[in-house]
Amino acid sequence: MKMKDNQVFAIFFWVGLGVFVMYSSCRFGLGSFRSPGPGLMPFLLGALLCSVSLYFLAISFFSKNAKKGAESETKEEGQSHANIRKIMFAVVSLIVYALVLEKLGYVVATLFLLFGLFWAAGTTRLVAAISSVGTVLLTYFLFSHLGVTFPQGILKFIRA
Amino acid sequence: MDYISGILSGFQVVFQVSNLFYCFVGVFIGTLVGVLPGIGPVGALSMLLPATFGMSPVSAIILFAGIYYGAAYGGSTTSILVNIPGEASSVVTCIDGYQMARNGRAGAALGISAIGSFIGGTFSVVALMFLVFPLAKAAVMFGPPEYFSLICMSMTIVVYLAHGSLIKAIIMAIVGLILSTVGLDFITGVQRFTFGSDTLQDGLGLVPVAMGVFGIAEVLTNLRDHVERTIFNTPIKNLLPNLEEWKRSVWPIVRGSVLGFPLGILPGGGAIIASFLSYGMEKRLSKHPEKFGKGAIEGVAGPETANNAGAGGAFVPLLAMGIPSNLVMALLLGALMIHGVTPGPRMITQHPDIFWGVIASMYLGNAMLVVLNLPLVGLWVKILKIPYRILMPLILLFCLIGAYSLNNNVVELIIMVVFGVVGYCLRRLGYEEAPMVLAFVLGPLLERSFRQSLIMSDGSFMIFVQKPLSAISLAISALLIISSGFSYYKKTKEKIPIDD
Repeated sequence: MKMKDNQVFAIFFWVGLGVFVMYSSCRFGLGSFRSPGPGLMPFLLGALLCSVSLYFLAISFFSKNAKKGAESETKEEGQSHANIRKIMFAVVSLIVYALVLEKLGYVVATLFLLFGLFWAAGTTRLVAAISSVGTVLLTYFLFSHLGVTFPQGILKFIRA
Repeated sequence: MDYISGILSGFQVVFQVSNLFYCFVGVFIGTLVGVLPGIGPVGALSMLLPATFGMSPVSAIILFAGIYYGAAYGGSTTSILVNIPGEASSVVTCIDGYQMARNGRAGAALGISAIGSFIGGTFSVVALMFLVFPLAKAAVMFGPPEYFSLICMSMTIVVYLAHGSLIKAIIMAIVGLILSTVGLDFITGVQRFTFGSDTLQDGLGLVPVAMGVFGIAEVLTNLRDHVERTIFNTPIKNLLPNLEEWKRSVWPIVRGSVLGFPLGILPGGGAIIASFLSYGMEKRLSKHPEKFGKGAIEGVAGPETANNAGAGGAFVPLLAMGIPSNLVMALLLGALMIHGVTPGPRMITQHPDIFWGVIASMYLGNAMLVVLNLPLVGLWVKILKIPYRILMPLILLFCLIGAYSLNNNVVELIIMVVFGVVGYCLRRLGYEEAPMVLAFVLGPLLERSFRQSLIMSDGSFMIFVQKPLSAISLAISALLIISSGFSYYKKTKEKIPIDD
């Protein structure tokens, strides 16, 4: 997808968001200017977002300079396409971490996460393992000392 | 309480062992995040916010203030030695600072940067002390219309000063305001955009949002566009400039202090503008403007002084009116409110220990920074050499700990990751996150003032122009919008013959 397409897609996303906000605001209750309801402010903001986005779409459509920008961006995109996998890996790892954190506990979940991230970032497995264990232990004791409560998860029995 | 007894009581607070410790830790962490490109003071404050729960409010604010002005110091080290600014306010230091390093004057560049920063920082603390009182007295008289218009003006300035597209910045500010409406309505208790989630009933948290769009998005961006840092290998010696360099630096430091402070008060990027304007002014006033860009010490002394003076100036609207002028101030506001302290005109009388404690800690913190930055410069250089493959997982982990430990809620982790992806996409598309997050912070106050004003005026919008201060603020906002519209029109008109 060309950068120009991405920009247009983004503008349509903002318009869609604005419409959604306006529609939802009506359900919250707009009230009146004398007695503004909970939906009035979001409704005005939604309307403003739609207006500004549509204006942006109009001026982008008529701007000839957008094309120049699109070409350079596309070239740049091609160069770093390989790193998209790394980004996907990091995002998926973080979401999986959030989902399993309370079940596995801080120590186990973070150990897996860090090992994966260090390894994906290009360190050797040995360095990744040592760095992960060291970081987990250090952060666990440091932040526990600062009053942060970490989930124990499957290692609950150790403290019990 | 007069100034003398106030500042003395402030020093009594700061010289408590625990507060001295937090002041030192703050400036140390600040320098560290300033040195390391990719974290920044916003990320550091977000990560450390939960760690302040066990502290007294004054200790927390001393720690946070230290991180903020420490980062402004640390940012210059990377500009001079690596040609990569640690902070946006140190961008301009790269131009002559790096050239000085290449000419074998890295020590003098680092030295004048630290000394200028110290003088600029100290000047701003003194000016802050004298300016906050009259402003706070005036702010007591402010009603909802004044607050509404002041916030509108702040956001207009933030949008006006955005680095990229003005329309994109406006869109970001509107999106930030929409995000701030998530949660229970403060008057009726109606759930807005909560999608049945208990977590969202309290609204989106500032920490997951800020850490997502700044911390996580920064890591994702670096994963995509990773640039190897090459440190200029030069022996760093003679940290004090020679006599000639001193002579050339005195006036840039004086001008940087005087220029930086008022610009720092402006909402959004005050310290950044201060450093750029200072550089421009020094180049214009110099008898040898041709030396700029080739290692002129004035090009380091002026901007580095101005950005630190600006950092101090940013405290004025927060302490006097409770309105944060930038994201760091927004996080400071959040930290104070978590501790049950509401910044604003009444804070000085209700919590004088906090106000004077922060002021005194800034004097002390500035002195600590000189000690940290000059003799320990070797340590910061070593830290700069830590490869990103080691830093990246650590930054992500600290973000996760920060977001989770706030409420021990995994939903906030997911919110943070979602905003990380959103922040990454916004960067790719050329949208700036700062107007969005600042609008997100100011949104609740804006909505409350707006609704209260309309109720007060029985639905008449004239209330916003009948109050003098409100009318002036709105007039300034309108002027800025008209001026940006005019410059855009002029630009397009100039381009037409070229395009055709």
